[in-house]
Amino acid sequence: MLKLSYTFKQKLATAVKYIFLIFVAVTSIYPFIWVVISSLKDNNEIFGNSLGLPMVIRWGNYVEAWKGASVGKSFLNSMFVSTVAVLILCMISSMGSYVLTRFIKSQLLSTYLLLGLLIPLHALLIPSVLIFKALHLQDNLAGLVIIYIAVNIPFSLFIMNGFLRSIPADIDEAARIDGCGKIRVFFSILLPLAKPGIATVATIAFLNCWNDLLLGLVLLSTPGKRTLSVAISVLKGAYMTRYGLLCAGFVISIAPVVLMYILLQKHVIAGMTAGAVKG
Amino acid sequence: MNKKISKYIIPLLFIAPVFLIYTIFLIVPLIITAYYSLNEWNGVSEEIFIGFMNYKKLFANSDYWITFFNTMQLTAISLIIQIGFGLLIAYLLYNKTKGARFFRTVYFLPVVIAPVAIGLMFSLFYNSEIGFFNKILSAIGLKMLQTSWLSNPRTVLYAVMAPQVWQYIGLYVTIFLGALQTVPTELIESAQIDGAGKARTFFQVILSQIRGFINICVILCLTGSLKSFDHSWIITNGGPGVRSAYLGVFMYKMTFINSDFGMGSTITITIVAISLLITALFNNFSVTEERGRRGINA
Repeated sequence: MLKLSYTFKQKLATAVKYIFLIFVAVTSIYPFIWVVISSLKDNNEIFGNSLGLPMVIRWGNYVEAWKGASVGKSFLNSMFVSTVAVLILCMISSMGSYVLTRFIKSQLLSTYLLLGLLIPLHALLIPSVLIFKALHLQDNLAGLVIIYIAVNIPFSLFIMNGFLRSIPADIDEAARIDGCGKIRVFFSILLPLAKPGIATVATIAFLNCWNDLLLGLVLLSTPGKRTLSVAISVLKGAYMTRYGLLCAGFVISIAPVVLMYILLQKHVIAGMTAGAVKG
Repeated sequence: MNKKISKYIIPLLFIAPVFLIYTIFLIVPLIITAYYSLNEWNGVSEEIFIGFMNYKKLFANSDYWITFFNTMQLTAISLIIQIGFGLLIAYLLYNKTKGARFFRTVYFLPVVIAPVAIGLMFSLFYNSEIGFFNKILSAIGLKMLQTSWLSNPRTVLYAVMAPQVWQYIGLYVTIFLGALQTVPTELIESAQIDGAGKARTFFQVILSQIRGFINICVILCLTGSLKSFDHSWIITNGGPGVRSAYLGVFMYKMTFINSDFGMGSTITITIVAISLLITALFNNFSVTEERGRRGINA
């Protein structure tokens, strides 16, 4: 009798656990589903039938958001800025890490370069505006590329240093004895070995660039140059009463990130938790 | 001679891009900001050096303290909810749960979405016409709790905090799940053989094993709250007044809307200072604690 009630208790506890976990999962994901469904409705349906599926599917919201609200143009801007920044960042930070882990093993230099992890973005806003004015890069996507590279350098070095340190120095020494120069050792031996580290850096840096609002807001002023985050923040003011359109803009803006998350989940999670696990 | 140059020239060339970009666009701006905080300047005319006057004026500004306490409230609520729920959910997933990976994937999804998009989404939910929160409240029979979340001064700050706190729970779940997997299972088993119940094992064995991770999460949570901007900016612009603004929003408004670049820099420096102080305190605290636990005098 006592034993029976024990297993019953255990089963009840398990059931409660799964109900709780499912409840949390629903609260994590349902808001997005609601927006996706609403993006296919017109205002009447959003008002009257806010929680149900659409009666008539309105793809027109997407067409209009892409063209009319210039979400399309901003989408391409964001894609350009994020991709270029990530490519350059991966190149120069793995080169930097190569030096920091093989040639100049100075604690001071490493600490100096990692200090940036502690600097909040806000500290850069005012001077960046001035520096870019001086360089004639204000209101220019190239300026945004440079600053995105700069703010992502500390964490990229942090991850790449860890990665390159885990590759035994014997490997490059062997290559050097075989007659490889420093440059070739880096490009044809270390870089291929460090691919997973680079993938992690690229994934997180891309997310950081794509998701940034503050720098885009401050450094760009021409509407045609807006990044997607900035466009979304303006969208709210311009289309606040056309909910279907707003939802469509939202879906377009998060689609690449969600896709990336599904495809590269391992790298996304590894990168975003790297600080905690390695620190 | 030639060999000696080439020994250093390639490493220097390789590290130069990172070093220069980092220094020019990250470290120099920080120094410039510190300098501007000592000046009266509207961004256009010549700046006037006024020493610590900006700091004096700032600390006498009631809006600064409102946004300061808003930020502190956000920090406290984030700590309790994100760390608390993060640990709880991670522990539940860790305990032989079927589909743990699936759950983790779902919980982590909001973390990767742009805060500005999350803010936009929640402004739709709070909307009085289509508002999904009010609809849910009336659906579960709590119609009396309905309110216009963003114009009611009692709810606006919490309405702005909610999406941010909600968004990042998954990050902590994932970190803690990773942490729990580092705890040796023999340790847990031997505690249970010694007769410790689940709760005691958790509090006395597991928690002390993952203390380092908890410290890092606390730092992440604290510095993350100090940097907050996007959610508040997109949902309410920090308003009405500064009722739902954090330090970051106050700084942005002061600089780019009121054109007070000097004061904006001053606010920024206080944010940097608090952030560094917290990190230093916590690192120190956890190092001391670690030594204490190992019986070494600090």
